[in-house]
Amino acid sequence: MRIILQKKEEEDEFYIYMRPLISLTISIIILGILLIPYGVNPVELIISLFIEPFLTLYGITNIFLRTIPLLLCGIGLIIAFKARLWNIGAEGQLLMGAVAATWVALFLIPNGSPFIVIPLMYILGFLFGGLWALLPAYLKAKWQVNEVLTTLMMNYIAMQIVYYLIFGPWRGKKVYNYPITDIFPESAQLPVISARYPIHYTTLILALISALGVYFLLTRTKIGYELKTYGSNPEMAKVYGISPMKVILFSMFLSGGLAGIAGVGEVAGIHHMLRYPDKISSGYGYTAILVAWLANLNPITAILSSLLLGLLITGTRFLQTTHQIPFGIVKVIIGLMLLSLAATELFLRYRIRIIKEG
Amino acid sequence: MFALKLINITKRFPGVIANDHISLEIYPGEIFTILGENGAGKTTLMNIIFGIYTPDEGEIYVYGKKVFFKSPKDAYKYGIAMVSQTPKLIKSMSVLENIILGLKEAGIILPIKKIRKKVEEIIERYGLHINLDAKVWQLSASEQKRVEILKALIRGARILILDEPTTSLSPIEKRRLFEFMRRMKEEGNTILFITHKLSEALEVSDRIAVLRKGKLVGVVNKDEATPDMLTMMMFGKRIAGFNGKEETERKETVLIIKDLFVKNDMGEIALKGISLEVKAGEILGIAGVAGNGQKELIEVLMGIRRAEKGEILFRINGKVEEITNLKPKKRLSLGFGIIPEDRIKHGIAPDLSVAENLIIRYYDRRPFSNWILLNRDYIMEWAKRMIEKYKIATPSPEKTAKFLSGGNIQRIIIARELDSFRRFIIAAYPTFGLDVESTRFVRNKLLEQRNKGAAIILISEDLDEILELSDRIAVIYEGEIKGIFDAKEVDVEEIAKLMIGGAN
Repeated sequence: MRIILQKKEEEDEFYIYMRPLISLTISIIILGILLIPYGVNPVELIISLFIEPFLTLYGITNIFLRTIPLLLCGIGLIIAFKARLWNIGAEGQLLMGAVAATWVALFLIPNGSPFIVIPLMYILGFLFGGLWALLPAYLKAKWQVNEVLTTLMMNYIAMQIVYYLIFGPWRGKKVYNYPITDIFPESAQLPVISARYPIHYTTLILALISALGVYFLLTRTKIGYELKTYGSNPEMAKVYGISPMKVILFSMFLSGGLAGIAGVGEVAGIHHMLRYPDKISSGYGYTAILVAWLANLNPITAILSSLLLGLLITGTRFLQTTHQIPFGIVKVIIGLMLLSLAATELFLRYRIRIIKEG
Repeated sequence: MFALKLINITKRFPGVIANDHISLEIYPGEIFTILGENGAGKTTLMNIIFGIYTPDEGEIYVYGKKVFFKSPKDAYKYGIAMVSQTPKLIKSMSVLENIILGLKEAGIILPIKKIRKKVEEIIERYGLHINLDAKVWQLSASEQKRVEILKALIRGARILILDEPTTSLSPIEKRRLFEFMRRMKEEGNTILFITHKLSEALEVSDRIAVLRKGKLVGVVNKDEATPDMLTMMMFGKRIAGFNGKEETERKETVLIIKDLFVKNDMGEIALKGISLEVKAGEILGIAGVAGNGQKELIEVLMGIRRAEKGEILFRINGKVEEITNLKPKKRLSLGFGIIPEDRIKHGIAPDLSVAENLIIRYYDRRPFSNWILLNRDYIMEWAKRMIEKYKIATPSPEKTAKFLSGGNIQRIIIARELDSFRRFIIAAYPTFGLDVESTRFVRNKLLEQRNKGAAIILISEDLDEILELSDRIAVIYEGEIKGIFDAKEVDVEEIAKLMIGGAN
């Protein structure tokens, strides 16, 4: 008997849609096995991860609060990934958006009307995030510098900038020498649905509009077409006059800009201050890579995949409180999902066949 | 006893018989050459001997012992090694590291000094000088070949297969290689030398076997072989074409290539001052074995490779303009049609839909798009029309292109490149790998364009295709044009001989 891989001749649409669910199942099974020594019953694990978050106000709010930045960063990454630019820098681009928002809120117009301050925070957040991505993009377009390395390194620079600001010039005067800025004035705090559901809905709406907008961009516009063509075959794009410089700069700017908006939402919608980078983001920029791939690089399905990950992160919080499992386990889940997603990619193009030999 | 004996080796691939009952007997201590056109089945046969393919039928004996190889690993055990056409080395590693890789003597702790000494001995013995500490990416093509040979020798090869080893070697390097081959032979080893160049076969071999279309035509001793006889064996009797092709009035010259020099990817001169002219309403066929500068000619015409010297001129509305290093997009707007050499690399975006692949030439103009948006309705309607007209087998225009067959991918390219009249067309290997029906379809489209007055350069290694379609035929060999003939009064044997470097 022999086991061979056979090439699929048709696009296997069913498998394309099933793959995220298969990966999720595989990761949860592995996680279940890993947690048995901690005395976690697999059934309880599933309850904690997928059901408990829906049972409390805190849980539901938390899901949404985490979905918002994941969705924004995720859609941004989809644009870059479609152009086959491996932007690993959403984390840093998010932080730069947060820096922009803080600057507007505390220094640029500290006493402005919210109707000016809030839009300006979003716009400058977008610009800062976009510009932060533009530097690696330019290096890539001009000298083929590998963007994986540069975008990743830019994350650390962004972190250090935030550290510098909160320990240095932007350290708050009314915060008892903690390394944080002053609290944003009320005019710079994003409106929330209600005190019971403190979800900064303006960012949520922006994220949903962005998802639709990017879908439209990728399917209906000329630049979207150029971007996809470049991503699928840069050699052919060259023959037909598509400028790599234009595509790379455009897609990275947009990609970084959306992550920047996520950063605005975090500081102006939740924390109301600039603080330690890991408090602002807790790795959304990296988790968003999984959001993008789980969505099969479709900005509409990214709404679902970001919700799923928002749920998983929230569920892990519950796991922490009910079973004393360290919150770091969330990284294990995300890692497992990325791995199983990568492992199941093979079957997009091949199927397993078992041949009986005489 | 024979070093290697093949009995009735047969290998079938979908649609072709690559090797059809081939039997050969090869002695120890001889250089045995396998000569044949591209696609004659030479490489397939070598892959079978080396264990990369298993034959569908037939038997192999090595030094009298019947063998059945499942992989090259088995072949190595019997002292068979192959240096393939394209070097299979790890570029970021040093020469020595590449040689050691996969070596049996390399246990857990590498006896580097011992192996190094052994390699140096071999280098000395055969004059294969190379810096063992250089990284492979720093080496030229011929040096990489030397590394491959060293890899084979340190594994104790007694039967060495060299698959077109002279490609991109300079004359001096070639002479060195031949010296090495003779040296090996004198020590009682066997060399299987694959080539499509007559002069090389005649220079170095003891015996020559000729393959044609998967069949063994015959084996001759070097002393008895003549260039004419080998050409005849390789190509058979062919009749010059002009099968009732419509006479066109050949008007003004559309494209002129003057003394053009172009480098290949390795930075070596691949086109050595070629000059050509194509007139409106004619097909100029470029006959030649692949690897003689065709790729560079195609790419310099497309505008994706720079010319070092010389110029390309193009006639636009009666005026002649220089377009030597003009951007590809500009060429398209001058009326170029491009059927690229590598349809996967330059002809299709695999992740995009069929419709999106059909519009790449047109997407940025009305009515396909306005200044920002694509006109989806028009694109879909147009794509459906193209799919029907060019019989592209796809269930819908939105299907991802990578799932189409090679023939259908070529139809997409033909549809977008040749649907309207083009002033100049580069058709590179336009029917390569296509079935009979698609081949006829593509050839008809080219003839249609010609009859409308397009100037066409047709590059193909299928001599029959060149003969059937061309009005004039130029032969390219080692980056030079060796002769230009009128297709009506062509001497096919002369062309075949020039293609393999057999004349003068």
